[in-house]
Amino acid sequence: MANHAMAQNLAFITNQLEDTVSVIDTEQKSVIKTIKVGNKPAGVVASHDNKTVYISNPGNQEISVIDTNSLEVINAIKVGEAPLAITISHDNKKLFVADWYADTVFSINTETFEIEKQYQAGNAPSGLAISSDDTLLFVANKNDNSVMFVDIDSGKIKSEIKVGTAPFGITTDYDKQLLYVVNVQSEDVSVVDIKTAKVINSFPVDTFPYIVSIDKANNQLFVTNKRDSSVSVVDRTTYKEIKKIYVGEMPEGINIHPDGHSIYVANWFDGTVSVIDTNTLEVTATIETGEGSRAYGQFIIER
Amino acid sequence: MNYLKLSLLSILLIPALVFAHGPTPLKFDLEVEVNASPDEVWAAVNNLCSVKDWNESVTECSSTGEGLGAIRDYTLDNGESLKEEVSKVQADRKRMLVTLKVEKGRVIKDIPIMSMGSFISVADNGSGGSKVQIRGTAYSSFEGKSPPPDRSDAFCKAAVEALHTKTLNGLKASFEK
Repeated sequence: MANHAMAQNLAFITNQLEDTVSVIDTEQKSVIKTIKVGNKPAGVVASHDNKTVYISNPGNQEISVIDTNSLEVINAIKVGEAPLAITISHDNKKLFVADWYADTVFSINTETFEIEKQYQAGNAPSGLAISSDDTLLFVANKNDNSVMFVDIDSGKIKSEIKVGTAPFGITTDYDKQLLYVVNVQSEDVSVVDIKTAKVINSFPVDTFPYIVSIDKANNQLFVTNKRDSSVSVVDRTTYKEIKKIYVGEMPEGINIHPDGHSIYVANWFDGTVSVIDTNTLEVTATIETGEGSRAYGQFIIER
Repeated sequence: MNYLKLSLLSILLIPALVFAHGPTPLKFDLEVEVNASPDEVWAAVNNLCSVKDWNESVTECSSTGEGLGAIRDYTLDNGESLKEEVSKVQADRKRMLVTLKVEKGRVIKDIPIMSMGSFISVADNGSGGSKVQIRGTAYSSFEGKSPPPDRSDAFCKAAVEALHTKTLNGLKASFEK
């Protein structure tokens, strides 16, 4: 009898204050495994083929490589002084890691696990995103209040634009060819046109906002407000606030589930994950994870 | 404090007060139960310089008022002066966020943090009294991968917890003596 297994979706939540990653089965809405990683894990990115999840550990300058089949750490790569923001090329060949203290972005070959290239960034690079054709890297520099467009081949800084104060999370809107850059201290989001490399709009959110997640089906954006215990829901066309949803304390990492029906939010202070229904805009579940849940990056896979 | 020290401190306070920090926030979560109604305790917490009466390490305090935007300047018995602002108030929840601003490059003696956000809240404890919490986050001022022990996250966390614990213990004692 054929064993026809349903695709399983897993969310990988970094728990920065206990050095683990909680793996959530999104169907069960519970943690199925807790993986010990490096020191002070924060950033996360899944490869586009769903086979590997990479965790940045700024506490011991390591990237943990997790095999999504075995849910085991298969390698640890030493990188820089404080690796935090992390992203991956669409062909899964290059992992990009921003070093907060060294003002550098490293690219790592995902087959050899070797550092291949270094890119000059600005002061305290805190956010990373990549263009759809893998030619441009977008870097948010927290202390410079800027976003850089870096040519991946040449390393040349093609543009540097001023955004709000203390930019952190960058999210690429591939359909609209825009970047959403969240400015923690000016408490707003800068909308950047990728083609022209210009800020074309901005909208206010709430206290200490961190990251945007895109809901294409409902044409809305979700933004975590770390010091308001809330998520702002904003219209993706008009940028008007639709609703403010209260989640756990100090929410940060946020991703939309691949099926589009829910949003996962990591609550740093509470050590939980809130699940929000994208249609009703209500919290439908709260999952216990670990101390200091951040999940900064792209953390949901299908296997 | 003498005039010269005050004017030197004023010069130090002029440069940009920044939230620049590293990639790892530290967490504190402190609580005390008080034999007094939440309304009474909340009113006392809103009086920002109550901290001088409650916290034995605070030797001086002045504030611009109460509520959103109010600022308090206070001095510790180690000579360090700190400036905090009420950056958020949720009066219906009896909760406020107090944010510490630190000058770029400054290392505060005994509490070497770069920034701090403290959520102070007062709730009903279910038996006629109050539960007061000070919960929040701070960042070490050390920027680099190998902090010495007296600049580490653990050191900063202990120092911040000690500071807030004194405030909470003093608050409790002031209502219960």
